[in-house]
Amino acid sequence: MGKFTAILFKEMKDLLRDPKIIVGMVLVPLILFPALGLMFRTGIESVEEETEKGTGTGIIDLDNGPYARAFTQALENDPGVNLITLTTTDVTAAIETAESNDMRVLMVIPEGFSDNIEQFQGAQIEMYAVIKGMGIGEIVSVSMVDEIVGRVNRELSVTMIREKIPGADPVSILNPVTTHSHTVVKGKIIDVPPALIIDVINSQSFIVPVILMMMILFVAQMAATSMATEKENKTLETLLTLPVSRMSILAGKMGGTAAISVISAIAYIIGFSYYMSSFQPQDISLELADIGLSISPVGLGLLGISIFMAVLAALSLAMILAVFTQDVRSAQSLVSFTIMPLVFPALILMFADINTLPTVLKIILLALPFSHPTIAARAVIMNSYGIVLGGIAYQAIFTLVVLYIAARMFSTERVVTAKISFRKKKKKS
Amino acid sequence: MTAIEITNLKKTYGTIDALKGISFSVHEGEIFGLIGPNGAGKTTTLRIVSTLLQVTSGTVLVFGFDAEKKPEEIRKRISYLPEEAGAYKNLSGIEYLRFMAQFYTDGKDIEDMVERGISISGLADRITDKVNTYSKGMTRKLLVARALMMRPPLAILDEPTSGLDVINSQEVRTIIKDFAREGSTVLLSSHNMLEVEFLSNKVALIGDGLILDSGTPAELKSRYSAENLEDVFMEAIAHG
Repeated sequence: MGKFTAILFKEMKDLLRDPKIIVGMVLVPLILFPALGLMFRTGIESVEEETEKGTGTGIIDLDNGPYARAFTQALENDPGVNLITLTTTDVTAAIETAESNDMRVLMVIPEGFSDNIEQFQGAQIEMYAVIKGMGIGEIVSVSMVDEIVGRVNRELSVTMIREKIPGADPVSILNPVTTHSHTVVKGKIIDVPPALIIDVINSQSFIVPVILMMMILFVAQMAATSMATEKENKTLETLLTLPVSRMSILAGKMGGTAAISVISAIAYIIGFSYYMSSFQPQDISLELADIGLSISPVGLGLLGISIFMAVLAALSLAMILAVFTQDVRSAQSLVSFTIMPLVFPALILMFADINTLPTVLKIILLALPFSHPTIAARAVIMNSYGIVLGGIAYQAIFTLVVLYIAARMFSTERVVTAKISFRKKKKKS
Repeated sequence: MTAIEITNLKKTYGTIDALKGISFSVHEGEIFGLIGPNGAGKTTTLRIVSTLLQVTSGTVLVFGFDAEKKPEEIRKRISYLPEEAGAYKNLSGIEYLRFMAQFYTDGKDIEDMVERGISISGLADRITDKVNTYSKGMTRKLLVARALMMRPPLAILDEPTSGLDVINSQEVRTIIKDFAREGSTVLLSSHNMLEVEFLSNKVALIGDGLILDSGTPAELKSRYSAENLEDVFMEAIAHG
């Protein structure tokens, strides 16, 4: 086994046996994310269950006219409503009944309701929402009533048009103008509204920056910890006097951390995908492939390289920073303070396209190696490989410069003598 | 042949002069002891010879190779044991020795070297346990074994019995003596002057970054009419 591989395997073994690394690598992504997702899913399902049951709605008809009956009939036919007709005419008593019978809404159709509609004067019903708890499900089911009233209104309008203008098409009168949306993507006309396509692209490019941010911070911490542990446990001095080049030591340590970070990346992607799927309604099946926007193998490869380069940049930066520290805690603090401000700006790209941003912000984002995978995630969907390749080239130059500095520092005594400590100094008594 | 030749070596950390121009030479097969109080410059000297630190001025030759120009050649011929060295806590003792052996040899020789390391360490069955379960004495013996198992032409040992109890210290001293009998050179430092007297063929007294005197323990004791090296050192300081 070569000297480089000896360091590489030692590094991997050492990291894999560290309980802290296992917690960060397995527990967080593979257990915590799905657990969080499960919690959200359970919450969403309870809301859906509440909605499926139909909103318990009491109704008092003080009008008894044809439109009041049509209104009640429409409500009865609506699957979102569980209608209970009350015989009392006393609203206060009806509210009490609603409260004690688990009704969420009470509607009162006043006298003259049908006459007003008949005379095109518009009519009003009194609606009382009964809130007992503050659960999301309860609030959603109450707010659903507005939607239901909208649907019922439309049905009443259709009935009126049929009665008043025999032979006319009620739908054409209610919506004299309609649109049929098409979207042009990459010169191809797709019969899907643009909003839907943008939603799909956004949901695809949302996952990259979030996973990347978590991964970069984790990998940087891991690299810094690996180097700082050598210093804290006093193993670095021995390592530096072995008959092996300093570059091999640096490369072996980085390689070991990078290998573990690949395992970690897979765990994060699995965990986060499960987490994200908790929010997606199961019946939405529009995929990028369906609208001709699937990522080609070349695009996928380029995105992978871009992500890997960002990880490599984080590793090299963390190694340099860790060289200056004396212990693990100081290394982790220094890395967090330094890497976080470099990673967070990329989150802007979750909400905005790089080309729509002010020039200064655009330059800052392009100068950061961690923004490029997010830019690449969108660009590969559109087959715009130029910007992706440019980004990878920039990341490569950035990483090489940082690696060169790291190698220079490793070949001098600075690796032994540099000292930054965030630990509180003990007061001398 | 000369194993180490140090001429007018100076080392400065910022504004602090750690070494103010020291010169001494160590011959092959010798156990050479550097003795002096804390902060005298012993560890700095050892770290420079080990190629960890760079020279401010002067020259350091190890087996004829300049420490500034050919550090990689020196690293092939030395084994350095730092004073507060540790081992990888998540590895077992045998994994640690095997990891280190790979830098000096390959193939079947690795296992031979590891066997020798296990024998030097005296850890027996505990060698398969993780280092983080070892006592301080066990860890130090593992590290001494690591430093000596590859039979380096020059072993550089900084405070080899640092933090050990009497029994463990005695065991480590015996290991070093046995090692030197096989013909290797040892450069060691200690503030325990009796230990150095027991181990070394030749001694240099170092204080405040300067070599105060050097010679065999017998020569020094005779020169200062002292009974042991502790008295020699006190006399050397008094004569300045």
